Amino acid sequence: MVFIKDFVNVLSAGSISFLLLTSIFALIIYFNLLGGRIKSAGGFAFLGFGAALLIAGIFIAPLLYLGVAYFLILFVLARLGGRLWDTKIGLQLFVFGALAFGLSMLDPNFFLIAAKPDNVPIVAMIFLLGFFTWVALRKAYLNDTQIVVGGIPWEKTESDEKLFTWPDLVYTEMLCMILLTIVMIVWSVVLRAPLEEAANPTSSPNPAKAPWYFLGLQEMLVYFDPWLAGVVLPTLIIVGLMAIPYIDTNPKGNGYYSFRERKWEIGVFLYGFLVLWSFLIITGTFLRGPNWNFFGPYEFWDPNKLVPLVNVDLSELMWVKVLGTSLPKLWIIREIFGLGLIGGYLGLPPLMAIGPFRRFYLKMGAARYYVGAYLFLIMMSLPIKMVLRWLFNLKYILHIQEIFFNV
Amino acid sequence: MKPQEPIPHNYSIRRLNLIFALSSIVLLGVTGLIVGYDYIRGWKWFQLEFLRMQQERIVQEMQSAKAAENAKQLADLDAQDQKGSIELAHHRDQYLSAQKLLDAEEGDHYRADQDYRFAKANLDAQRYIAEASVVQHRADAAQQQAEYDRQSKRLAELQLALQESTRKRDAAKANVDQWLKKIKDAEDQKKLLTASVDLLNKQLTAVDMDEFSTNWILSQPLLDFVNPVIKIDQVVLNDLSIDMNYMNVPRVDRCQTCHRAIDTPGWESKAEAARLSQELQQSLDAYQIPQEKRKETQDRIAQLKRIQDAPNDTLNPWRTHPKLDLYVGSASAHPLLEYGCTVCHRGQDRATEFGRAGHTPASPRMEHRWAGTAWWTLGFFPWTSDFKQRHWGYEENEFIETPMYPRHYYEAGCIKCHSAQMGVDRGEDITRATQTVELYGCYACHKINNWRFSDLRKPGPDLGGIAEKTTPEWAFRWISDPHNFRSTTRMPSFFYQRNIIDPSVVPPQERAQNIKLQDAEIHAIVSYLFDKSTHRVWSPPGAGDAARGKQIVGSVGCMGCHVDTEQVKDEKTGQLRLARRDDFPLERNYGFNFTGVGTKTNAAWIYNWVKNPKAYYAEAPMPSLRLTDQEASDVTAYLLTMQKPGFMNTPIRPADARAVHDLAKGYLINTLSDRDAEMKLRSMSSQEQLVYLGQRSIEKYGCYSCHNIKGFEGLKPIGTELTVEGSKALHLFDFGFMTDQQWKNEDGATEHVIHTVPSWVYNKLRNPRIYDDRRTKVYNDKLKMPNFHLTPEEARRIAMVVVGLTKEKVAENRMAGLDARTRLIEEGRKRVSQHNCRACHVVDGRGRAIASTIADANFLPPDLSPEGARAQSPFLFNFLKDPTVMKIRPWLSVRMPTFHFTDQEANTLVTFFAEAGKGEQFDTTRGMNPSPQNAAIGKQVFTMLRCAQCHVTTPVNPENPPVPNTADTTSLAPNLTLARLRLRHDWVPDWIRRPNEMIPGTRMPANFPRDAATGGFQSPLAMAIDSPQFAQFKATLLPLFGNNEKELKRSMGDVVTLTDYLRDYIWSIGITQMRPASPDGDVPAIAMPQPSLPPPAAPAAKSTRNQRAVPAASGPGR
Amino acid sequence: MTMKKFVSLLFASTLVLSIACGKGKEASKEDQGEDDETQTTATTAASTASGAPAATAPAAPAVSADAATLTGLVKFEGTAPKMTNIQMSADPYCQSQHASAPATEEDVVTGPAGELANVFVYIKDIKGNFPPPSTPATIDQKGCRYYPHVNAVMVGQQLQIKNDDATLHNIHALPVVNSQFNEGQPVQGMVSNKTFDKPEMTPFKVKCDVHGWMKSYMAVMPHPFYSVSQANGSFTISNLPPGQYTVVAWHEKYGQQEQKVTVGAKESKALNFTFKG
Repeated sequence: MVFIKDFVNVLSAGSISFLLLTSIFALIIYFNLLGGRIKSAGGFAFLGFGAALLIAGIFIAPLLYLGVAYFLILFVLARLGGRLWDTKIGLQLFVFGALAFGLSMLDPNFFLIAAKPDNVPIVAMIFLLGFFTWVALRKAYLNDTQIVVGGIPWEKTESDEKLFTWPDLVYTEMLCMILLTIVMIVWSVVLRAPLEEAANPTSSPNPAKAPWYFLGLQEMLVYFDPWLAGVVLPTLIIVGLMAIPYIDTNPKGNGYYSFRERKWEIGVFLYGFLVLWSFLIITGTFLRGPNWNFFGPYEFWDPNKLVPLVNVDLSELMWVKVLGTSLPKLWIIREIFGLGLIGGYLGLPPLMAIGPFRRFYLKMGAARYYVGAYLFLIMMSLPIKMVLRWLFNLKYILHIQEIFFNV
Repeated sequence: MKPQEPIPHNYSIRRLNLIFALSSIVLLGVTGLIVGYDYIRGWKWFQLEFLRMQQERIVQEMQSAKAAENAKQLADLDAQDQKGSIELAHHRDQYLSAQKLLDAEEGDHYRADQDYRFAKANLDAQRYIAEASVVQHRADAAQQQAEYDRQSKRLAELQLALQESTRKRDAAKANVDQWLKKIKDAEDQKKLLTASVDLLNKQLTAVDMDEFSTNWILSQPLLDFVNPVIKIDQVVLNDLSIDMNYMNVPRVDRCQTCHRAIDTPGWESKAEAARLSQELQQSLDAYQIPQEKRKETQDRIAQLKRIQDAPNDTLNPWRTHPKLDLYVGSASAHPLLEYGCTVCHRGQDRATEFGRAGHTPASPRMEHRWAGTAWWTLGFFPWTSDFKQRHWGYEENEFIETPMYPRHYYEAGCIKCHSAQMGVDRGEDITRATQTVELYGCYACHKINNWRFSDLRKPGPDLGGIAEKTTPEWAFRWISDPHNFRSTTRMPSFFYQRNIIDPSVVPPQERAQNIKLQDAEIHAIVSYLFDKSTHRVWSPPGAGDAARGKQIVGSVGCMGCHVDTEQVKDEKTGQLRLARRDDFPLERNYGFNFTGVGTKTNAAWIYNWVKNPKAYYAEAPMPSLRLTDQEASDVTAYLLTMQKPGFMNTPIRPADARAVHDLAKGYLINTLSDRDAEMKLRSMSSQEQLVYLGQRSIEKYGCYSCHNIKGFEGLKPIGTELTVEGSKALHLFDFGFMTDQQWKNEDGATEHVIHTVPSWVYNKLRNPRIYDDRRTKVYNDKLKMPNFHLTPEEARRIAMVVVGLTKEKVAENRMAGLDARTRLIEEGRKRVSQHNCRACHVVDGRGRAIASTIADANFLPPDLSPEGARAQSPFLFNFLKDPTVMKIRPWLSVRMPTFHFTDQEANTLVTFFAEAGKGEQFDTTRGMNPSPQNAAIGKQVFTMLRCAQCHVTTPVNPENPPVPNTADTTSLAPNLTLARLRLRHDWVPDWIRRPNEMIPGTRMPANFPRDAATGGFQSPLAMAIDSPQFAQFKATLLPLFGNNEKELKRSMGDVVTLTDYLRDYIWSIGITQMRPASPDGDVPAIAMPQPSLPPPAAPAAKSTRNQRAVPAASGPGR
Repeated sequence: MTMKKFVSLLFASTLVLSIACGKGKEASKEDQGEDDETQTTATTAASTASGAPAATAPAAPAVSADAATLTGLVKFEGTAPKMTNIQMSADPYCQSQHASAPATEEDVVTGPAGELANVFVYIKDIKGNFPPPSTPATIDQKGCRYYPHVNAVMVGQQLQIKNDDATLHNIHALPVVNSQFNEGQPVQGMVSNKTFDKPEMTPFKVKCDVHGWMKSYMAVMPHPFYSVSQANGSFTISNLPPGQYTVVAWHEKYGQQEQKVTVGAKESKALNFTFKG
């Protein structure tokens, strides 16, 4: 029993769980939604990536675990293919999840966090999120199979006539209202309000956590400079969400579930929402303990746990480690590598416009293309920064202390 | 047009209706859940339970009220009532006519009364009209005036008529009553008899909660907002606010919601009832209760008796608060409505649940029992079945900032308001606790910033002249394990403690290394002390006889502060065992234990120290007993026989050079680099290294906090400050890995650490090093607090003080003892405690530690309780400065020592006694000269009562003062010629009347015993004056009373005048001058020691001192 | 079919969930009802001597019918310490009273054949409600000596203390259970009356502070079954209801001895004690 707990503790480390989730995300899209096969080019690409992971795992230990788990899931998903979306499989997934959750509630440390009255909504969120995403993708898959063979999506088969507001709309709404009231009342009676000691401005609790919906942002603060993670990225998230209707002009998939017809749009949004927002909230709630140290789900939150912070800036890495000299005084020279990397990264969209994404560029038009591209690049900067931090202990790519600008 | 085909429904109506029905039923159920959850509260069960208990008790009292004899009296009253009504029936007609007459008279009276009132009203109106017409000069003024006169005459007539009709009516009524008299009397008596039963019935309905009774209905769910019987009971205390970190919120104590009978007497526990009834009985016997209250007290004692005989004991939370006259009672010093509960007990004031209120368990067993809740409530809230098994659903709630004090720490709450006092008046536990903290010197290392523990002297002796006193070999062995030399010493053990050498905690090779380091540190400290010590040479004693010395030590009074034995008979096992500090009263640990003093010091030092301690160092706490040279030599000889050879045989491991080097380097690299440190060490000789390491080690262990050491003057105390330790949050205490662990202390007891602050402090005091268990630490980072080898009781007491020191501020008017008079008293009490007067005397009812060493109670030093009312200030001031000024109690061999009080100290003490004794500071009555006539009468009374048999009335000639000898009558009682100088004029007669009430057990007999019935005094002379043997007294007394026989008889019977006459006689024979106090308190001069010689070149470790003889100067000693 | 399966699976997982949540803390049985208050019961105040009359009152001792008597002798083994003369120079009046033969100490008074006087013999464990006799017990101070040297009085019985000397005596009684008193008697022939309300079986000391050598012992008994051994060492306890008792013999210098004895109706039993010197 202890072995399994330790195994899960290790697996849930940021570097593995996040990368594992990203790769599951990609695998599901390729194998289960787009009907990919192992034997095909895409399949070999995934296999190759898995092999690369195993090889890199020799140098960086966590990647070994990642590789093993990756191949395991690869074969399962590949074998399932479209059948992932059958109700039988869905039901098995749900029961397996509930069973795992129920068993882990026996562990006192896990119980302490999961049964804490504050965290009840988040536990509910995990199950609800999983259920609704599965339902949506199931409908999308069913519709796609129809569309591929030229059929019409399931929504269109229904009659277009009108429905009564009573009972179909109002009656059901009222029933939902009653059921929800019952749930809220029972919840408030059984779980007492977590009244703690009198507020004391001089002593802040350890860990000092933001409300559950901001835990994602608080997690970003670990990897980015507070200025970026606190101000720039949140505004860009909001701006990005507002800009979606203007960038995405694809007429298809309007009014019915479909994945193939809106591959890019749904893929990017789901990645952003599920992996970068919800998963970080779950890690922030369950896996972040005192002194914002990382704790496995079954680990005791010991305030005395000491984790060595050995992160290095890119400039230090290159000048001191690689070239063996001391850091140059002038920041422009010192940060030459950082500037180069970031310049290259931001220069990608124009290159892509000429190169492979030429088709997109022409279809979307310059403004829409560049706004979409740069928003996407900035969104992807978070996982990249996280990977660099976990695997190479890289702190800042660009560390210009003089003008307080770090990336 | 074509009927539209029916529009399909998305859902089947039937299924929706079914869901709707089911969900609304569930919703109803859930609403019921809300009402239930809000209505069913734990505290309601406690109130219901208490109502049931009250009902039970009232029913019991009803049975006893209806007991046999009441029924018999009721029966014959009914008979009387019956007889009366029969008699009335016989005279029916007369009664009826009288009744009719009465009715008529009442009618007339009513009419007459009404006419009178109306006429009066008209008259007033008419007066106004008359006046108005005069003022407005109207024509009909005269006519109006006449009308007014007529009406006032008419009114007078009506008044007469009214009085007449009232008289007639009352006569008729008396006539009717006369018939009904017998019946009415019977009714009144019956009402009297059944009054108690009726009262009980009324009380019964007040607490009746049976189904469908009014109380029951009024407390039903939705009806209970009107006037519920079951309700939250709270006290709002506006000026005892709680500090919520940024604002002060009034304290709202709701403890009474469950503790229903906390302030109503009658629900005491059996133990409390026994204690209280004995206390009341004693105060009854000693006539301390005023006459009118005696009956009430006897009823209370009877009630307590019933409680003790009751089959089962009242359990908490329904018990009455112990010592109701001191706490919580409405007439007590801390009435509930003004103080509430949480001010002293702490805890969450507004909570109405057991756990949230902050109850703190005292032991793991209690914690386990409290925590039980039935499994199916999922541990959410306890249920009635749990309460019946006394499981309260307790959960450790770390969010409470001020949890309650657990069982043995209740009086910790006193410190908050009483920290400006030396002792809390009736708080024996906390007073002893603060005295323990003061005597063991906790304040020396741990700064406690309140009046009680500030400006106290350093608890340890001055080490400036250690070389003169003892040898390095002894010092090394003493520092390594003081308790091995003296088991009752207050010196703690710094070295070889649990986290350094205990095999179960420290791995073997680290243990060996640690021992080397500890040896090195001790050698270093000893070298430093002896290197910096003065080397004065003291004059040696003459030839002394140890047996006589032992007799002197036993009789002169040394046993008050010192203990001479290390073996004590264990009360449980009966065998001899090693003595512990708390085997002796606290005051006797003030001085050190004599055992082994011969091994420790040399004759010369003892001889000079015993004669005049202040010569060795100025702040020496020991007073001088004015021993003559011979006495001092005898005492020295006796003390030298107290040897402990075994102690000096324990081997001393030499200082390991490597260890010294590493330790010294450890300190040097704080400031120098590694290379410089190494160079500096190489430049120092091994002795210099030792001295340097000694200095740093003294700094590390903080020896300078308790001892005066050269080079460390004025350093800050080494321990953490404890001023607000009681308010420190629980998570700031480092429990290490010891939470909920059991550990075995070196004295064999197993202790248990639970996760509360009192438990942390208690275990830290029992063994200060336990929180280092299983932790990996560098040598210098290990816990350093020394081990005082405290017994559980001592540790509990000190822990109670520490936990009581909180940051909670209390309003100025609530702090105790801030008025001017109490400040004077408290300053005096601090001097009394610092100079350990309670070793011999009883002050404020406590003390006289010497009592256990003197067999006959009458040969103990005087009880100073009434000192303030008794002593005159000028005398007391001189006596304190120089006790040889007056030998008051000739039979005492114990001597009042000379304390070398400064004038200021003596004044503080004199003011203290005067204020405490409620006497004015400057007694003006000394000059009063009694009239010769009173003095003569007094003389006769004096001889009649044969006072001369004990009291001497001729002045003492200073050359040969009475030598203490019980057979000689001159040394039986104080010499009365001293009274005029010494005693207060008004106190003397009061003392003669009731000596045993002032000082219980005094030898002075009560010549005027109390009359049990009236509480007054009886005079034996009243009858005796007429007896033949007093004939000649009567003859001499008669002229003094102007031959008035009756006056003579009366005054012989009147005890107050008799005692005044006696006082006047005593005043007439009193001496009026007193020898002034000699400046140094008449302490024998001793040869001043040589100035300190340069330290000899001999190596420190092994040197032996040779003494050069200096002629001893002898001085007068008394 | 899927619906049924779904419901059963759902039920299984929630069951697991609920077991996991339940803390499973059942009420501990082992200290059922045992109350923490009893853990540290404060020792109640000095309870009265065991002899306190219990509620059940046996038949009032039938004085004549089947009363038994207990007589006996108190022997003394070894050489009795010689009683020194009392030096009364402190008070001329006392000295004048013993001009002819100087008074001797009374610590150990032995008869001609080795009998021991002044031994207080009493029944320790007799239950019953015995009203105090109306006749008062007396202590007489004559010739600066107490007569008798060892005395006993019943609870509530009046004690008359008479001063037959023309000098000051103060009667200073030091009981432990009852309240102490210390009264001066300056006038010759003066009598002070005292009563004790609590039984105190072990005798306590009564002394005079003016004359250090005056000492006597007094006990307060809840029942009338006690006696003091005379000069010839004999003592008698009469009107004893039949039963099994422990008899205690107490001497001021040689301590206390106990013996068990059973007495039948109308039996006159002999009982002897020996004290070693």
